[in-house]
Amino acid sequence: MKFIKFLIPVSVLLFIFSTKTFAQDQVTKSGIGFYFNPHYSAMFLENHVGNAFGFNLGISSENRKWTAGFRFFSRSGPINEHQEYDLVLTDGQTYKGKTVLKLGADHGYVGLEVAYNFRLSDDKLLLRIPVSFGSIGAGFYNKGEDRITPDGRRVSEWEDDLQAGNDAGFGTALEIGVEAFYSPFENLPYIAFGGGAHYTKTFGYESFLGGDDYYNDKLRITAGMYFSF
Amino acid sequence: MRVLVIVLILFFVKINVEAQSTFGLSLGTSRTDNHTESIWYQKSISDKFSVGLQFRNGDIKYRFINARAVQSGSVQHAGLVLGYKIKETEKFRFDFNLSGTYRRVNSDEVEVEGDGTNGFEIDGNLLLGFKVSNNVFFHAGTLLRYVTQTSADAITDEQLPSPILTNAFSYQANQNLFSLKTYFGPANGAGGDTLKFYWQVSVGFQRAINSSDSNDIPFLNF
Repeated sequence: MKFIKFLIPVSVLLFIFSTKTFAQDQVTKSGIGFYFNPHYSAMFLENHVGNAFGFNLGISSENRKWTAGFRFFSRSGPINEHQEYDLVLTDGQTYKGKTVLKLGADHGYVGLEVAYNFRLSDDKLLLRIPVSFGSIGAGFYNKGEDRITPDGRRVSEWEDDLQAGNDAGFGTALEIGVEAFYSPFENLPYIAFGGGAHYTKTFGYESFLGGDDYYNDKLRITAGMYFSF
Repeated sequence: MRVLVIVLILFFVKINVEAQSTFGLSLGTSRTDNHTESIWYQKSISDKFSVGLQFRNGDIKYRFINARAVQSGSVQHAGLVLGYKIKETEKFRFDFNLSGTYRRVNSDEVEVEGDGTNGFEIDGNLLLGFKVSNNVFFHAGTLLRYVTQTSADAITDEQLPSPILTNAFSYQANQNLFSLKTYFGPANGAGGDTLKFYWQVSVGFQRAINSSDSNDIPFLNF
């Protein structure tokens, strides 16, 4: 909550500043525009950082002040190899003779986003205030040799059985953030580099190992390229 | 299968020998295949639309039969590529390419009727191409891949679209284009039973035929 308390006044100040800035701007672009922002992201989860890849993609208004589109990112298990979660089996349950399993975790988010945009420093610096609302799905899964099941059943069936039928969960999520992108090339103004910080809140997500708060109330930072025209 | 391929090739050669077209091939390695080869042919049918054929072959490293992992065997793809040029200026080009291919996976690691599986792969590619200099191009985009297995078991969600990012650097000399292409990004499907991350690195060569202007940013087949 500290982050969102910080974010709200910063966003208000940026909004006021942007209104002034736009009054001085010469808007030279015309027609509906497009933007694409492939990025790496790091979410500060309990005791570790969750690595993910994703993109934002959509259209921009004629004056380029507003953008609307999709936000899609996913935290994949294989790029978070060092992050393991102990699943302690109880009630005499075993898996391949083991009573403790090391699990991996992954999640995906897809949602709509709307952002307010403004440019500084002769159009070279783009600042954005995006808000996104969408769906999150996340789970915990068997890793390595434990993906080869002892009886030929699909591994997801085992994961479900071993985690009380709740190895993964789904919910809705809200993100609000600030982003900055700098365009260094005179002859390629469509390409910029930068990133942002986002506050993530989830609603209704729950899983056996993650509880209902695993991805809730978290900070996520992003870094990537921003293409727009 | 071979008859179908021959008929499709003859059809495409016949429809318009005068139009701009591109022939290409690539060689690469990926999370799913030790090595993968592709050959393709794309022909413009209007200023914005193009249509083509694509064939791929791979030596399996990590794929799935009935949602169970296999680590050996072979895979073949054959299908169509539809190209749509959304916007083009002197400095950049923005494309949406949609490919739909039939897929055959063969492996003896999992026992299935017919010694393999059949399925389809649909790839939606959004691709931005930029002219870095007169001969050098940079492409960036995303691959939204949907994979379904139709037999032996019917698995409609072997892979669901996920944010797989694509990048390429290309060098053009006359009508020839040499490129280094990468894909990387998370993957998921079949209730979590299948691929969780995808990457691919490949080198490609393509040649434009009947191209009116070699300074155009080239169509790049991913």
